Amino acid sequence: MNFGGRARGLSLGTVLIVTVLIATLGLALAGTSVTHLRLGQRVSHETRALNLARSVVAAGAESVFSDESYGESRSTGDSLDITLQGTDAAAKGRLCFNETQAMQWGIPYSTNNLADTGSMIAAESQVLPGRSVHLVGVGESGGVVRRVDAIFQERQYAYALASAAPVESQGHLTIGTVGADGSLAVEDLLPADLVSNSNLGTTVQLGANTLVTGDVQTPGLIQIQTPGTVKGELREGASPVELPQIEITDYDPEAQGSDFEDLAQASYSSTSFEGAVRSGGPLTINGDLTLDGCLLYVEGDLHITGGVQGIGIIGSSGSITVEKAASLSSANGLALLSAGNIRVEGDGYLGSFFQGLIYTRGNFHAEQVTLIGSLVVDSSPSQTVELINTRIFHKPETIQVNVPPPSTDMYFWMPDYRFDARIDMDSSPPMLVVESPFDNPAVGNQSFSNDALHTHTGPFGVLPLPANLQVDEATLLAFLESMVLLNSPTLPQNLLDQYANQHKDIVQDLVGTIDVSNPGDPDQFTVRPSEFLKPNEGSRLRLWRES
Amino acid sequence: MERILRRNHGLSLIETTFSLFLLGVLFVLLANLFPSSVAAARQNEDRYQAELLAESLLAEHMARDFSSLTLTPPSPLPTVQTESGLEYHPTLEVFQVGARSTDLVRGLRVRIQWQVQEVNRETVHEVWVSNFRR
Repeated sequence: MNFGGRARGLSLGTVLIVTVLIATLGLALAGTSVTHLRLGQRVSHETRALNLARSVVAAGAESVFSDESYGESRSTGDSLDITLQGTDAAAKGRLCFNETQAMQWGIPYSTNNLADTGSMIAAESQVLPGRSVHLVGVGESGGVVRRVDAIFQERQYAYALASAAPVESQGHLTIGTVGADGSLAVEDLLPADLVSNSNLGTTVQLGANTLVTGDVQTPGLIQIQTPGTVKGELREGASPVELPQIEITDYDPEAQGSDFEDLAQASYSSTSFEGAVRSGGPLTINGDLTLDGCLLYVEGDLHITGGVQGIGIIGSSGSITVEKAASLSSANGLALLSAGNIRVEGDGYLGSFFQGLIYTRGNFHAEQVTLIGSLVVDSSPSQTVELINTRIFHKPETIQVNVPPPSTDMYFWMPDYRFDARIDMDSSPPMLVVESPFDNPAVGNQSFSNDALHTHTGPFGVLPLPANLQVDEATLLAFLESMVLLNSPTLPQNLLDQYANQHKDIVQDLVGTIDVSNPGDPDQFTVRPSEFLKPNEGSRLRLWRES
Repeated sequence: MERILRRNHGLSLIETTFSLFLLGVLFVLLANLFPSSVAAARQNEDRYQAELLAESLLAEHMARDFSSLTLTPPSPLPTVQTESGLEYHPTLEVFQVGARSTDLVRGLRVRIQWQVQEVNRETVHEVWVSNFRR
């Protein structure tokens, strides 16, 4: 207790020190509480600002993909200024395409480049690819600013294989998108997806020798034997995708009331078809089938023992079998549309190709073949897709198949030469034009009954036709006789009549194939799977950045 | 040092009285400050947890497939209880954003309600999501 007696003189200093310490402690406590409060508020404002930015970009995407011209003209009206429930009145989410408006708001402007295939400069000197839109949404809450950048790129139908049925592969399987230079080398392939909408257990079973460059997606389960590779995502339990639904009868020229050539035989040797052709029953082609801008519709099964090539659409109310796929040619663009099964076989996937769109409502079987284009199996979940040693390369430009309008060209056989002729639908009125054979260098130096014509240039004769092309028969015969007489002035009358009548029939047959009301409509028979894409499937989010 | 101590020993009562006064004032101030500070901190903590819960619920639904976000009026989600016994009652609403296409954009709104000393409190978090594949 001596210490207490000795130390009592220091009590004021001691108390002051203690007081200062306690005050400091108190202030520190208060400061910590305030800091904690402010931190909590800031975090809250950050999440709200981010939600505002996300929301305004979502609204912007809706605006653009509901009306693809939205923001294209950079009008001040193409601006969004939103608020969300639960935020302060001053909290805003903003997005605009107009540069002046963006400057006033203090945000970067958005850019809509969907209409152009070339790239353009977007906000902050960023290069925006063609067919894309760059949306910049800025959210502000309580002084906290958050920004979301999104780039959406329009895409075409992107599924190399989309099926309602389960998919099973054996042996080799490669699925990818053809490289930019048309390369099929594995290292050049771009992503392509495989989709099965079936949800009956394991719906995608892929072998060990599998390479899928994109996603594999199904509401069911996926099984891949090792070391099979999927470069994209494995999306089990995913929502079904919208499959194109093609009405096969839309490609029946009879059902559509179009003119067509009715095939008389049930089987043909290797052959070539042009224009609209229809078989009223099953059809067998013993050999190769070449389509030259042809729509072939078969009421029943179609069996091709060889390959199929060229440009055209084949529709069948039954099954289609192609026993030998063709070699690779950039000139091929086909669509196989079947209400039944489709079977395509080749001699090895490295040398056997089918190029175009395949659409079936039944089972699909491919073996030892490379399919370039897209495969749609719009069947029931209980049917099957079997791929044995097959490659499927998605190629957007080959899955849209147009059958060109019927040809307006023809030719006449005269005593010495073949005269090319055509109906010129672009002129007004339409014209029947008989060309000079001397415009063809191959015949220009040969002898001709009427030597004076050697020096002739341009058409030999032109006959104006009525708008409905129904020319008076006597007028047509007189014109054709004059053409024959040009070639052979001394031809006996009986032969002159014979030639003129033959050519009259040729002209009238051709006139019958021309749709006078819309002669040049290239969409008369078109398969375009991208029509069936939902707006959200028609474009893909390429970038989503939150900052 | 001893001389100094001896010279000051007569002031100890005044010093002590003044010291007690200062300490008393300080304690009164701190005693007033402390409960309100604690209450404010508690309220802040409760709100912060509610906002975290709202954001996590929003994030959970944003991660879902767009087609599964069917339009629904405010629907209760399971109650969340904290260690301190506080109960949060969340509701979720999926709504059409103005007149915008529900095929392309939908709104998610989470409302968290809780009660402290018989006072009702709530926080609302909202976000619009678009239907585009990444």
